[in-house]
Amino acid sequence: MINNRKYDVIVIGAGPSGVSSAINCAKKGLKVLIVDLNSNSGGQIYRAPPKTYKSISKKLEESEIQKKFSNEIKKFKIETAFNHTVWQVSPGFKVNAFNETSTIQWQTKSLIIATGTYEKIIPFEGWTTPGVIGLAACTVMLKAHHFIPSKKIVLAGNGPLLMLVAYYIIQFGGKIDAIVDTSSKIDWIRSTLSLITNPKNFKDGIKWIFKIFFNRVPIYSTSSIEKAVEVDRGIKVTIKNFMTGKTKNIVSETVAIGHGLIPSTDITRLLRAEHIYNEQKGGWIAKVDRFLRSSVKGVYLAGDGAGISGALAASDKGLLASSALLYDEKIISEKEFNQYTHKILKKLDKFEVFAIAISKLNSIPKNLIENIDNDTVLCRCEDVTKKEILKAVDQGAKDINQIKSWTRLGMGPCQGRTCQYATSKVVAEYLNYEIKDLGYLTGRSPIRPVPLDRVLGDFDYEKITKVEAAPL
Amino acid sequence: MTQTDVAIIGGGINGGSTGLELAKNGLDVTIIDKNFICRGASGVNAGTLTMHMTRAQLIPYAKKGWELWMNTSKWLSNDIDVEKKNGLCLAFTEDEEKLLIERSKIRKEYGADITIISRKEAKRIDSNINSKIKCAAFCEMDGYVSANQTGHAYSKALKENKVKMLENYDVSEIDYRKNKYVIIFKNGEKLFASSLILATGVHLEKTLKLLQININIKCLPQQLIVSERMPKIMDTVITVANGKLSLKQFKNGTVLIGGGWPGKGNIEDNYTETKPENLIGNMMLACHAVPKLKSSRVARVWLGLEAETDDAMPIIGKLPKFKNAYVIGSIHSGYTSGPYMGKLLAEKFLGKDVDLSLFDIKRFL
Amino acid sequence: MDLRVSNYFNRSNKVNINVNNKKIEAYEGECLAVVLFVNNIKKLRLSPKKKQSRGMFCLMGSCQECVVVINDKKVISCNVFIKDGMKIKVGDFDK
Repeated sequence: MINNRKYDVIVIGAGPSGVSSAINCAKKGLKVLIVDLNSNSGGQIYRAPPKTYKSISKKLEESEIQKKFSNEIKKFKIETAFNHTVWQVSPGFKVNAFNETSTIQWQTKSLIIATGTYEKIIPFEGWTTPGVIGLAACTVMLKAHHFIPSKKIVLAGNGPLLMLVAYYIIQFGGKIDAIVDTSSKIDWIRSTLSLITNPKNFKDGIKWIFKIFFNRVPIYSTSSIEKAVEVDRGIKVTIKNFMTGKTKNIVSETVAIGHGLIPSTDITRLLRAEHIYNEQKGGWIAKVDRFLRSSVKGVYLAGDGAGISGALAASDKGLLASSALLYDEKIISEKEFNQYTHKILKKLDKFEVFAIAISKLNSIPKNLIENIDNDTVLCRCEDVTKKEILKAVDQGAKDINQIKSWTRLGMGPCQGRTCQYATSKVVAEYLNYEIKDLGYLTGRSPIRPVPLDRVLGDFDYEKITKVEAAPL
Repeated sequence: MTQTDVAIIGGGINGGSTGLELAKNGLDVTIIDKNFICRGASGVNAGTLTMHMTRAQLIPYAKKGWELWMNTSKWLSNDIDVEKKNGLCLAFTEDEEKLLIERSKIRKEYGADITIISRKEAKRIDSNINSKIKCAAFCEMDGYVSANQTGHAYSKALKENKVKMLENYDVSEIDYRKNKYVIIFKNGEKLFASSLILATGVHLEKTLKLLQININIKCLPQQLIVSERMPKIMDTVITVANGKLSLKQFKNGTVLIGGGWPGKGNIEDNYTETKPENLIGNMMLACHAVPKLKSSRVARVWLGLEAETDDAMPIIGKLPKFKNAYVIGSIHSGYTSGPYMGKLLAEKFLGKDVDLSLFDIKRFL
Repeated sequence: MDLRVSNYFNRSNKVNINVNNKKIEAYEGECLAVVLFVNNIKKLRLSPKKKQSRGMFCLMGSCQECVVVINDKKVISCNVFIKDGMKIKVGDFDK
């Protein structure tokens, strides 16, 4: 069960930033292990199709990038632990993970956290209805699993993912009943213009918008979903324009909704690293220096974990974090470090312009929070409603951890990942507080539910370590 | 500058229960906590209300405390889940059987209604326990509190009884002048108090030092494990002969594994860290006691810092050389007896004839 | 209408799985959460207090909503790949 294999570096997360940082370290002769929940490298953005899928002549750009990752991991002899869910990281550093059959512990001198993001979704009445899914879930379904979710779909939320998903659904033969966007058309024009600095994204954006336009997809701007109810033929969605107050009902089969991304801070919170609140960068993020060192010695943040900058910046952020590690470990000289990181930092500055434009499209309008009905469940795991949260606040709960212990919000299997952002927004709005004053949920192990049988295996009572008897 | 009759430093169950009782007797009470009410060991506790883990000498107090917990609506709040359950203490080996019989006998001498029962009888009380037990000790006086709700319940009750609460107030100095106490906080504010009660749990050593009283308080970082909600798999509170496991299923279906399998922690910065090898040991023991538990998933692990004196007995009562200064803490397995100990100290404070000589701090000075 | 997209990849062998004693056709290695979703098996678990049905939500191992029972064990179905003869329980499996 406990494998004491030791590494110089363990990289958690095999997306573009994890892979680039692992390669950078391996090239300098370090012993590197890369761990990921998925069965292959690529992360969510270049997520590989299931292993049984056989590629045919038409090439998908994403799959090509993913293949390159796999080849380089092999080439630089990086050890991999795919299909492994990390559940505990302790100082020193010990990384505990489980796979389908058992649990394992590795040790490492340094840690690169490249766990990316998860999706930000602002609740609305009926968002727990089966068939309402995340926009990111929709992307994974389309691009990694090669399915369209249903014949008809409503897409809602904001940001570029809305257009990307719409593009793929049309491309793959699905029908979009509506795109419901909190942004206005003017927001889009402004942001699209600022993307010109980045030809690749600009070209993609134009491609998506043309496709959507020519397919006459109804677009509801400055609107959000007020309500979703299960009906015979699917889900009845009420769309409300929050400028005009007008509503419209549509029956569709699936609703996909998303309002941007939240950096994953599970591991940095567990390690008691310092965190700061930065709305534009996605909410609570681990505090890092220019070179992505966290406040805990030996822990580096690659990718979007310390703030959203997007997929294109990810591999450069991986290079930056791993260069800091190599310099701190005296593997590269100060001169080499400065020369190398100078170039990367310059490149990353450019991506920052793009990230800011995207974050504007993904901003959460005040009325989206205000409009959440009192009976809406905020914490899906524990069924805690907005009303119950506000009652606890009225009775004196003052920070998010107190709200947690009084209401059980965030105590379920998702550990608050799905509810913390929106709940903080709701409470901050109600009390007229800043979100940073509410704090963040204390990191608790396990960061994913751990099946006891896998951790324990078969054991004899006699072999259990005995502890000293309590005093009588 | 503010004033109060009684300043209580530490807003856990000990400080909270004492304060509540004093306020009910008409005193002007202020509770100070460096965090929030019941957010330290009181809020993260396993919440077991058992005689099987109580030190023999404390049994009479635990029994009174148990009664108080079973009647929280009368003195605390309706908003807290407390359940009465049968308690089974299990022995799996011959050595454990010997230990259990011996310990149960002594606890019984101190007034606990514990009987040793056979495997068959134990299985009849809770069919879910491991059939491989040698014997069990049975006690009807058992149960649990949902510790995470104590913050809510105590805050509400204290507020209703007009106790002032200074939360997020960290004490840096206590000045003793002319039989009065000036409490100076890290934020520069001050509080004048005629009387002082120290109830800072694991921080007592440091707080007592502010009055130049030096005693040792050990910090025991206890690990707790909770499963996600699952169908009913047990119907009793389970403990083991050596006193190092407490296991129960709450009404909401989650199963809590507590007991003395330490993690790492230090008082200075409230830092805690789980020790996977000890976690796994504790999980194994729990799954051995109730095999069905093995099909569940662990949802969360956390630590609480328990305070222990050199002789593992409480310190409750007057502080020598000071006027109107008291201490309460280090009550071993203190969840069960805590509310009663608080009540006793309040009565002592109010001049009633209460014998606290067993817990006198003088024994360490 | 088959919701599978076959422009870029060929699937492996066709197999059968069993969901609450109902036979479902799928291809070996496909993601279980997705196969259930496109087969309109969307109600995967009951929420604890309100007893509302819940289904797949994030599809990346974070939200834990797509939990199902396979061989008496709770697993998140977004991280399970189809094997022939797999027996799956969905719905009120806590009863």
